[in-house]
Amino acid sequence: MSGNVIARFLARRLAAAVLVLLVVSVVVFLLIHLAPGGPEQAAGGEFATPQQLANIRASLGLDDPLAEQYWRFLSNAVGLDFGSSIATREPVLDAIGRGLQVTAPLVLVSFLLICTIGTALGTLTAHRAGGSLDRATVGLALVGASAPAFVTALILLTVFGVQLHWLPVFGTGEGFAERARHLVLPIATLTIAGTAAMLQITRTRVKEVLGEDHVTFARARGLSSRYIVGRSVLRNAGIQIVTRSGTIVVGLVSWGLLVETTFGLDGVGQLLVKAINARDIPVIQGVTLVIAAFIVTVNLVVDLLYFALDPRVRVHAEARA
Amino acid sequence: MTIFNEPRVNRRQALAVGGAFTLSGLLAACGGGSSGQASDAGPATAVAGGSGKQIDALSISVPQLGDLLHTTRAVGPILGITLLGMEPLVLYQPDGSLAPNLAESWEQPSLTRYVFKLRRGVRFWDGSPLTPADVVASFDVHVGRSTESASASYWTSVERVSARGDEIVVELAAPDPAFIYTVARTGIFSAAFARRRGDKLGSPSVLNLGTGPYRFTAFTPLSRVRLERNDGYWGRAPPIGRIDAQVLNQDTLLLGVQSGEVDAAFALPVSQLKSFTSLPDFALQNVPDAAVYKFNMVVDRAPWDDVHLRRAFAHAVDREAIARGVLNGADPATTLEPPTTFDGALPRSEVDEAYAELAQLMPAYDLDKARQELAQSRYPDGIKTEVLVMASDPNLSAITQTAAQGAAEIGIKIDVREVDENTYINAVYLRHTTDGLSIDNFGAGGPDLLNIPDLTLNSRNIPPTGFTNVANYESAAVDELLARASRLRVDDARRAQLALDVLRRAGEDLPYVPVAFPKVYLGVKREYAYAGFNAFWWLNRWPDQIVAQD
Repeated sequence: MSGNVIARFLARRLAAAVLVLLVVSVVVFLLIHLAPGGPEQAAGGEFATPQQLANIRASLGLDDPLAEQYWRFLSNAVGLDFGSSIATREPVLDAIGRGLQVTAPLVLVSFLLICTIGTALGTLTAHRAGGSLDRATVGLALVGASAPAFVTALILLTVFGVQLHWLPVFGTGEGFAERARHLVLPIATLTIAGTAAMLQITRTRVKEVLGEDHVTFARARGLSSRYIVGRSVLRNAGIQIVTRSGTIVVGLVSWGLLVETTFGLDGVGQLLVKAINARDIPVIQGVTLVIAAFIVTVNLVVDLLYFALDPRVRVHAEARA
Repeated sequence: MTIFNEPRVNRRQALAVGGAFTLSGLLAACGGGSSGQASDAGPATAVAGGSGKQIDALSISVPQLGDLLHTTRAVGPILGITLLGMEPLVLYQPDGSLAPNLAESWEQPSLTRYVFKLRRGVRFWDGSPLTPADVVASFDVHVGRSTESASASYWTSVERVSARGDEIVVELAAPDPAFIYTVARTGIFSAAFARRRGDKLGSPSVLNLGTGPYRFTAFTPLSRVRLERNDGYWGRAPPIGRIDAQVLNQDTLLLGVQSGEVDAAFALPVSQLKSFTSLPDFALQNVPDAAVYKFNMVVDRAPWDDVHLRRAFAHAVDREAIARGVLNGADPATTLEPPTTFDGALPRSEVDEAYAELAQLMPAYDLDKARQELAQSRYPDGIKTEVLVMASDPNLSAITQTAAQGAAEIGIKIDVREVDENTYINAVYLRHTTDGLSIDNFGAGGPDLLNIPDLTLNSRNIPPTGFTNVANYESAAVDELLARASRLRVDDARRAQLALDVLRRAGEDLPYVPVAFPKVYLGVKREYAYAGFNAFWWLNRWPDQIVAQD
């Protein structure tokens, strides 16, 4: 029965997700066409002659009615065909794939680090709330969070790249080892920027839960501290932590864009920025849809985690069903 | 990044050892205009003193790279990379001369006909032989109405390209004295490879195929090109094993130089020069750029059709302050091209005299005179206007802000608005839809002394037939002077006089207010030496100019 409930819930959410993606695609499509300058320049180069530009517009179908152009895009996109970049001739999916080889490890590893470090420190400081360890940790995390990402990046680059020569200051690197070396500082930057948020929510919630009656009873029954934190405290704090995780991972995508620029990484963010500058419509549409799909998926996963974490949500959903 | 090129909108530029020679040796090279030079030797690029030992790898920063690794998308500094892989028939040398390259000789039997004799035994990296058909195909991509080449404006005079035995014949519809420079900026690619790859040619997974001293091994659009030595190169052995060329933003570039990851940087940003000069292991050199920062006033519509308004504004621009303060010691400009353009074509004293006269024509910074001119205009109470700038060249904004202060004192109120490159290029160049006043950095696309005058003043370059005449300036007299110059051979001394005449007319009619001639900066690690840096470094085979110091 509860499987049935989840399936129905999923179906509803998927329908909503498709709707969101449709709206995003329409808005992006209209915005591109509203912006001055057209993609024919991307194809013809900055200084193409007026005649060339007209030819290119015609060959790309840019003079067709907007609805027709949108329909063409949508019908292809359904089959995951976003076409080829007008400027670079590369299939959009190939370009996104190449960018993801940088952006995916950047965002995912940072996220894992933020979750691990944030919850660990949050739990620890909640237990020592008010102590010097608590104050020092929270203070440091806040400094990390309030420094703009590019400032953190520049400090890391200056220390580890310029002064110590341990790590490269720009570029993407080839091969696994080189790529990993090039990603250390960008990942550190994102982790520093994001950890405070995770630490803070974990600390606050864990502290609250620690003061609740069921924890006091558990202690009174002589249960081990580890058991209490693992089974009781973190599980109760979980909903808020998972919710915050969702916003953090979405935030990482946009911070990642900034960090890619600072570190000269050719990730998805850079791809999007260049495409916007060139009015490269297929790439802009492809990348924005992929990002939107990612965000929608993250939200969906967060919702599903609620089911897993909190029996009350399941019961509530069943009652409504 | 910067837009560049023909109308290079940017900050770069250069000169060379001692001064100006952009043009100098050119005449020698083409001596006799119809010069046919035969040479068995490969390109004879001058190499600086030094050990000449091989360099394993060189990491460089360049101002711009193309979105496609192809000759149709290579203009300005992009050529500095593409020409290493897809080399030209003739090679532009640091001293301004032209040397045989894939063409072992060439001749110009008439004003409208060029014949190139193709070097034998040259092979592409994949082992296939270079044929005249490859050259014809490599030229034809820039010709015709349907071409997508960003260099198309250089090829409009070309009527037909054909192969005749091992010769390539180019017939022009009208004389184009600078055509030989067009050949020097045009890389040759494999026609067969291009056919096989269709419209994916030049994309990251396909790259491109040439005969050059370096072969392409990786490409990220607009960001990075990696080249490796072509061991089977027909000419002088390439001195560098691997070249990593990348476009870096200003902060990253500085960090890269500080950490030692960048060995050489072309066209360093002027706004950050101080940071670079303080680095002990990095040496800077600069040369005058073949470019000009100028204000453009659209003269065929209100309000800038009023010459008194134009003169009022010109009087309100403090060129000295801008050149010194904003552009870090550039030369103030009183005409559209720097005097160094005339080196080799006219004696220095004559050039100086002519430029002194041009300076007299240009309204000097004088707010009282500016007010008087404004009072005589149709806008005695002044006007309000907007000037577009783009972030990729911070000088545009800085210059405009400085000029706006002077203009505000007499009642011309200028709002500076930053837009993205696409918007800027559209409004300023392609569609001429600004409020009427705009600013740009216009760079010569080639070393010919009529390059800038023709692009900016010929009525043919007003939309729809062109776009670089940003002021929509139309003068039958100027058109006639330019037409006369085009009927002379490139080394004819009368062309220099005609160019000066054209510049005088522009000074009188004032469609543009030239502001400053920028310099172009090169930074190189002290363990290397770079000889013969010049404004057209991107037409040179520059790796041959770098040597590792002992």
